[in-house]
Amino acid sequence: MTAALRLALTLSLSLLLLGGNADADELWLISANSQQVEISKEVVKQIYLQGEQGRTPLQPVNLVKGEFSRTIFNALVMGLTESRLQSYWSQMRFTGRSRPPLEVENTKALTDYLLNNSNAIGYLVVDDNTQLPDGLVVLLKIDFEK
Amino acid sequence: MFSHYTKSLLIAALLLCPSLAQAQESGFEWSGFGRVVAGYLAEDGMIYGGYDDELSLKPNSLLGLQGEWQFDSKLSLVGQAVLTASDQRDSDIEWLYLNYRLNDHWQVKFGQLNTPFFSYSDVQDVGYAYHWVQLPIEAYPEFLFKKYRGASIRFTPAFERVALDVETYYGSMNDTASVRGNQVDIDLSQIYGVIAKLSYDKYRLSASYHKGEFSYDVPRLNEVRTILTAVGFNTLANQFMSDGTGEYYQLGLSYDDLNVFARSEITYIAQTTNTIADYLSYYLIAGYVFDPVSVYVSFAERTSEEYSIINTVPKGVTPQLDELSIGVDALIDSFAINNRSLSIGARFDSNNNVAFKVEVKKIRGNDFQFDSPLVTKGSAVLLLTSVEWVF
Repeated sequence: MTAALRLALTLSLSLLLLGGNADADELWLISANSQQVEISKEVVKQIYLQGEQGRTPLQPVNLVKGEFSRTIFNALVMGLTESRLQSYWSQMRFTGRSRPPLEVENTKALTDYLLNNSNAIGYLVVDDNTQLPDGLVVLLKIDFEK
Repeated sequence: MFSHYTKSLLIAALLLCPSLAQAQESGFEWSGFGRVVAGYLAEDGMIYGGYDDELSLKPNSLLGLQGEWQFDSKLSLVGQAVLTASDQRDSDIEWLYLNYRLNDHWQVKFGQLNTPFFSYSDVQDVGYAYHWVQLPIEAYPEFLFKKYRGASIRFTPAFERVALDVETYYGSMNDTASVRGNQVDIDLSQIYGVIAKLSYDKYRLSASYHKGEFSYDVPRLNEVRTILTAVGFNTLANQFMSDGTGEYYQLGLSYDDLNVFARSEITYIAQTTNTIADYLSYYLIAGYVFDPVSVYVSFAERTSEEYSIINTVPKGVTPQLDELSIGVDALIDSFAINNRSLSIGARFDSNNNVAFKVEVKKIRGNDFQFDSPLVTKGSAVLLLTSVEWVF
C-alpha cells in the first residue's frame, strides 16, 4: 500500500466507523455520457484542477468536503490533501482564474445531477453491492486495498 | 478619480450586458479572505518588512472582499477590495474588471487588474493560498507595481495530460508604493508581459517576461538632488535618475504530492535607472505534510549588481560637505539590496477554511530601515504568526 493511500485511509477511518462504506474497494469515475468511453487518471486530475470553468467539455462535479468518496478521490486521483486543494482554489478564485468544481451534498444528488447533465463527471467509492443507476456508465475504475 | 473609473466600467458592463432581463437572471456572489498577522523583530534599532521590536498586527493584517456579478455564462464583472489598518498602504479597490470568456480556451479581462509578475504576486494578500506567513521579500520586493489598468488575454488550450496556461497583458498605472516605510508615487506609463505555466502530473513550470516604463517620486531623492545642484554637484545630481525602463524575468518550478511539496522561483530584474540596482533573487521552499499540519524550511536571497553612481562629494574639506557626502553614500548604498533569509514554519489547517501559521525567520543583509544613519547592514530574527481564512 502506498503512503498516499495509507494517509487517505487514515483520514477516512472516522468516517468509516461512522457508517461509511466499510467494504469499499473501488473508486469509479462515472458519467451519463456513453460516448466518453475511456479516461485516464491524469486527465481526470486536469479536469478537476480546471474547476468550474474548465477547458474541456466535461464538467467536474465534487461531493462536499468530508464525504468518504471525496477523501479517497483526493488521495487516489488528485494526489493532494483537502487543505492543499483548498489553498489551490483560494489562489484560483482570488486571481480570477477559475472557481472550484460544483459541489453536491451526497451520492444521490451526484447521480441525479449526472443523469441530467450528460457532460458532467463524478466519482463514487463502491462495493460489491453497489447498483449504478441506469443511464450512468463507468469511465474509469481504480482499485485500492484497505 | 476612482469613482469615475468605477462608473465607466459599470457603464461598459451594462452596455455589454445582453439584456437587463438576462442580468436579473444571473447571479451575484460574494467571497473573501482575511488574515491577522502578528510580527515581532527580535532586534532593536531596525525595521524589517514593517516589523520592529514591538509586537504588531500591522502591516499585513487585512480583510479582502470579492464580488462577482455574472451577467451571463460569458460575461462577468469582478471587483476586489482590501481593507487594512496598515500605515504602508491604504484600503483600496485592488481589482475591478470585466471578464469575458470567449470559449473554453480564451478569456479576456479589461479594467484594473493585479500585475502577475511572479507566482504569488497577484495573490500576495491571500495568505491562505501559500505556506509562508510573509512571502520572501527578497523575491517579492515592495516596489513592484501591484496593479495596472489595461487588458489581459489568457489562453488555456486543452491537452490530454498537460495543462498549459498562457497570459499576456498591457496597461499603465499611477500608484503609491511603500518602500522601506517611505511612500513613493509611481507613474507607470506602460507595462506589458507574457506569462506561461505548464503543469504535468505533480510538476508545474512557469516562466514570465515583463517590461515597463516608469518614473517615481521619492522625497528623499528629490531633496538630495536639490542640495547637490545648489552646491554645484550638477553631474552627480543628474545621475540620481527617477525614471527608466525595467525588464523582469521569472522562472519557477514546483512539485506537490500528498506528503511533500517543493517550490523554487528565480527572478532577475534589469533597469535602466541607476537608483535601483539590477538584481537576481531566488527562493527555495520544501516541506512535508502531516495532514492537517505541514512544516517547511525556506531560503531566499537577493543579490544586487554594483551600483554605477560614484560619490564625488569630497570628505575632509568642511563639516557640511562631510555631512552631505555621508548622506550621499548612504543613499547610494540603499539602491543595492543584498539580503538573505532562512525561515522555518508550520501551518495547521482546520476543516473550515481556516489556517494557523507560525514562522521564524533569520534575516541578514541591508534590507532594513536602521535607526542610525551610520548602520547599513545587520541581522535579526523575525517571529511571525497568523490566522488566515477564506470564505
